[in-house]
Amino acid sequence: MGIETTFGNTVLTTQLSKLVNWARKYSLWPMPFGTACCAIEFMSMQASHFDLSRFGAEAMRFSPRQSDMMMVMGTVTRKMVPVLRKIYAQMAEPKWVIAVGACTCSGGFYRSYAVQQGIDRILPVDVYVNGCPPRPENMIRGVMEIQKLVEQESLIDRKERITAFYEELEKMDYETDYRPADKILR
Amino acid sequence: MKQTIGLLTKYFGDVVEIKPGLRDETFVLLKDSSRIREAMELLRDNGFSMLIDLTAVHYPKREANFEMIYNMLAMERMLRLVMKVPLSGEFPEVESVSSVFKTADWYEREVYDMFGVRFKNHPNLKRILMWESYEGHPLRKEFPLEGDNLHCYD
Repeated sequence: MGIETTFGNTVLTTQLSKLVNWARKYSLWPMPFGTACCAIEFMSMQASHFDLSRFGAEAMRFSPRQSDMMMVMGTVTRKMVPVLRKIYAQMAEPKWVIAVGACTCSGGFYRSYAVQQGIDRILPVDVYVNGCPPRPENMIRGVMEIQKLVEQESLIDRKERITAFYEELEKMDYETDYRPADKILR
Repeated sequence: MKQTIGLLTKYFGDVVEIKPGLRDETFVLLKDSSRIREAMELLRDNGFSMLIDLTAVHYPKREANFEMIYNMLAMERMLRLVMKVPLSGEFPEVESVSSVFKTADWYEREVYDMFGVRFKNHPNLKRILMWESYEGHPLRKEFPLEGDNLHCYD
């Protein structure tokens, strides 16, 4: 019927996107964006005991241009937001984002004017990992969720999803009742 | 301490009110904010050589809605003194003490940043913690807890 009848077991027919996704799934290069204690747990996850290299993601790259999975770990302050945006923009597509820990996901217990209340207001986050800080196992589960996502989602779908995210972000209503009276001297 | 209290009452009279503190420190309430620099000079020249901290508190329900707090330490005698200066107005103004204590420079910038208190004769009064385009003063009571969620340094 297919090409297998002629060539036997020497070939395997598949879809190109599936093959590419399968390869990508096991070669995620994480870019650690660690700002707080979650990054300490990340070190543990990456080191020999928990061993992230079992999932093909052991090649840490501290340059955003060489990596494709950003792990944002720790409290992101308002002053850090432009840095985070810039680093995300510097990463080459395809790229994924994991928000690790309570602070990154929602601001955590820093319900404050100085801390960004969840990075999903600035970046399209793919996977959230709970915990304060999360156990290394939990972070590994986050990486595995990314692997599932990479396997299932074609890049065209992904592009649509990210465009939708940014459109929604623009529509989001941030208005508060607060109007600072002091505009003369900042 | 008695000596210092004597000096303060001698020079400032009714303007100061002295109360015992919770631990070993002494609270001094200076009712006339225009004389703060004078008071700091007097204290500095009489043993209180270190300004430990300078901060403010916002009391929105009081008539004097801001209170400046100066924590002083006499290092040789190990005495502590807390000077409180009530201020009123939405953006109250008070004399800068940065010419008396160099450390007050950044402390006053912080108080200006967080509370919006203005300091007269400050060498460089601009925000120190928040970015320069920030609007509002975060430690005021009417400021929303999470800020306005819109502005970030960009």
